[in-house]
Amino acid sequence: MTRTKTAASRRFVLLYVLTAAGLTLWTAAAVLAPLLSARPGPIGSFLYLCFAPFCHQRPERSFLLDGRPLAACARCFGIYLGAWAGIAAYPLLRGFSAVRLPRLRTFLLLSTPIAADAAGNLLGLWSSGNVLRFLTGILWGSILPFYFLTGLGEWIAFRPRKT
Amino acid sequence: MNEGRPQILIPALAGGVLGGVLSGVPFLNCLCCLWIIGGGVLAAHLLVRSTKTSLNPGDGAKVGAVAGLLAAVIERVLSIPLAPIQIAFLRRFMARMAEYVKEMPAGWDRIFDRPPGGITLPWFFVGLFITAAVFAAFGALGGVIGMSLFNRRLAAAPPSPPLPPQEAPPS
Repeated sequence: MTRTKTAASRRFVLLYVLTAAGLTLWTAAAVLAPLLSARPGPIGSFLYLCFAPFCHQRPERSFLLDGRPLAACARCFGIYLGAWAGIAAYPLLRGFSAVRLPRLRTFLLLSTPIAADAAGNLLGLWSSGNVLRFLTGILWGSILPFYFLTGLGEWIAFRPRKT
Repeated sequence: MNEGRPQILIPALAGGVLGGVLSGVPFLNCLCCLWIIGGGVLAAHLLVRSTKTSLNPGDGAKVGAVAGLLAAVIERVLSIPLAPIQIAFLRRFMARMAEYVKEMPAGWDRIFDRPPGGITLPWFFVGLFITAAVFAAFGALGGVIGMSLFNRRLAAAPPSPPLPPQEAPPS
């Protein structure tokens, strides 16, 4: 029983590392796109194209780096950074021996600011600046790894194996 | 109601169609990755409704990931007829970026040049691979969120499933 649990924990640690690496690469790509697009070659433009299906990429709603917008808008970039913070905090708050979903009220608490801000902007009630969009994105993004890792861990690492 | 193993195909297909179509249509895709997460949530909701056996967050991740993969295929297929509109969008994006930047790299406007026949096959598969990986991750996320929202049996379940003693050392 103990050995099975240890093996499951090891699989979960591997999932955690892969998730952290993927998110780091994705976030780095958003930052590298403006820097690489300043140089000759197609890599910078290719990175912008990679983010196109996932983000509207409007320059006035994006942070600028080296005079060029990041590949993701301020809100999306906030979500990525928030998710990164959540990934970093995960071992301290949950550990690797079991998985548990966040409480519903925590999810609602962290989701309400981004939902209210996005709704207000869509309905034309107000127009938020990039800093507010970024901060609401960070708040929401920070809880997402706790869902993602719980689901993936339960699916791949902790589910009893058939013999 | 199904009483055996969870049948994920129909819920995943519904979630994939929702996420793929809404993500693929220009103007509607202004909500970024939200449609894919929404597709995962819908897939989890339909799975909970159609299954009597106990479900857990892993089932939500699985049905959401499959929904994300299907959404990626639908989005990529939709992108073929909608490519001229999408390219016009991206050209406008680069033109607006040029307003922020003193000097754009040489030949930036040729990145969108395509052969007369449309999208090349390698370009299509590169796009499909990247989109599938990211959509599957967002879909899995939506599936787990949906499972936590709609599966009331989950709230009463223990935090971690028990593991069978199949690898116990011989005595």
